[in-house]
Amino acid sequence: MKMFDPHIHMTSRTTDDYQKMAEAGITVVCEPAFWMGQPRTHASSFEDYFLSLVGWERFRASQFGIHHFCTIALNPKEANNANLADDVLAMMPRYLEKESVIAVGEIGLDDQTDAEVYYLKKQVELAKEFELPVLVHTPHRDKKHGSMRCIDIILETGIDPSLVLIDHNNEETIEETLRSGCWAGHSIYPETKMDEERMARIVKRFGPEKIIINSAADWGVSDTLMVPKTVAKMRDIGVSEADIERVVWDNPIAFFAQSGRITKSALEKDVLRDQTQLFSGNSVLRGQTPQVDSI
Amino acid sequence: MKNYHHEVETLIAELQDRMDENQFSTLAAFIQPAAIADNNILTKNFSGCGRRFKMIQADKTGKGYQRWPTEKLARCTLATLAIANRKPTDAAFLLDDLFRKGDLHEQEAVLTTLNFFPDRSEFMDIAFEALRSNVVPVFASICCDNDYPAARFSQLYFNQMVLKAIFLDIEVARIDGLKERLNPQLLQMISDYRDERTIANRSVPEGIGFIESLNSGVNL
Ligand SMILES: [Zn+2]
Repeated sequence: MKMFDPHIHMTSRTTDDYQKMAEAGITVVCEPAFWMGQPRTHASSFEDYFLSLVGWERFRASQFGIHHFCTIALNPKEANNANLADDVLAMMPRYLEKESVIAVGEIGLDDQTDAEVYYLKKQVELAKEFELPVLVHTPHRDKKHGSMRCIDIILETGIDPSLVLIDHNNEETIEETLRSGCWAGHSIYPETKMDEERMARIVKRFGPEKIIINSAADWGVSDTLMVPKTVAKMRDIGVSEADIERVVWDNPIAFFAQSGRITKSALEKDVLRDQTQLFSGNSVLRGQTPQVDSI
Repeated sequence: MKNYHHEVETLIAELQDRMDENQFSTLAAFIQPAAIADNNILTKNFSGCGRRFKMIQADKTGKGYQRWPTEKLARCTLATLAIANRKPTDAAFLLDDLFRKGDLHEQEAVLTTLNFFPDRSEFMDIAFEALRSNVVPVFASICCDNDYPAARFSQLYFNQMVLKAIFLDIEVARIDGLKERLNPQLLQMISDYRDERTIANRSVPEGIGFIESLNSGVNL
């Protein structure tokens, strides 16, 4: 079964991760722009980060047969940095044009400050202008209330809820998220937040409609194989193959295809072979081995 | 000097052939003189060619431009018209920006456009930057099917490019002007590399044999 991990920060991971993900059947990833673990001191650092998401990281993924897409945004934590927030926003339109950018994100709330609310609204407006869906980070503290607040602020802008993916849901937030008409994303972590057992039971209970799962793997303790591990758990407790496939393949494709920049048939192609064909329609490469070692 | 006017006409004809009316009217707006002259509009449209045109299939059985991805045809058209419209320093500034802030396909298109301007030395820094790329299709876009390196590169850069192409296992037969630019230093580097591979019990890349055969006059 092919799988799509729609929220994973590959920039922080090694080629071993790519190798194992490819072996486990992950053929598509989406990497949201986010916080680097420490605050940036220049707006231009964001630009180089955006460039690596549409450039080098995409190439690195392709070498392991994985299609790489990304989302572009000013994340909620750094929305609080008044010295650079407006400059980052001003550079975003150029990156939202790029073909591998399939949503605006991660936007949302973290400490739920006024600045976070302001830049959340601004970025939903940008998404509307570029006809892109939005990927929404919900707070880890004050989760239930904060998630509902995110949804309210976003839907007040008039964006169609089917263009909104609310991430980091759990048993306490999923019903409200689905009731709002938004998609419900779930980040599966090895130790904290949601684990694969609980996630499998959620799918069993609520069905696959508008449910999406991801590893949200980054520079912290996390596991790039959480999507395939949750697939195994879902099988264990008797979720049908069709429902599993909807959660880990059809749903993320359907959500991001609203960008008009991906199609199911294109994602079913072999990216490595496709890439070598891309050079003026002729392969220039004699071999097909990964070329990510230093040259 | 190459006739880039003729190339642009051919590119546009191929695009028109592939596109429906709606798609072609988008392209027509992109190549309006006012849209070409304004850096902000041009850079936005140059990026936008991907999401707008990449779904339009090329004819994989065709030849030349017929095989090119549609967004590449469109980007090379835009970049060529933009260069033609500007003073050399302004053209170099714009192209450098398109290259540095481009995704992989945008970078490929910038480099392929240099093929139409082998007599223009102001684009040399972009070409050198591309030589440092570890992204194979980007490196290949300056190295293969491109007249720019043989026309403009010093021996040092040209030799480094050929050697890196061998390392990457790229078809060295597609390096334009390779035979004319062969030099004793390059042949020495290649022969040293052959020895290095042999001592390490590794296979010798095919590119080495090809270049040596060019030198000895066999298989020409
Ligand atoms: Zn994240």
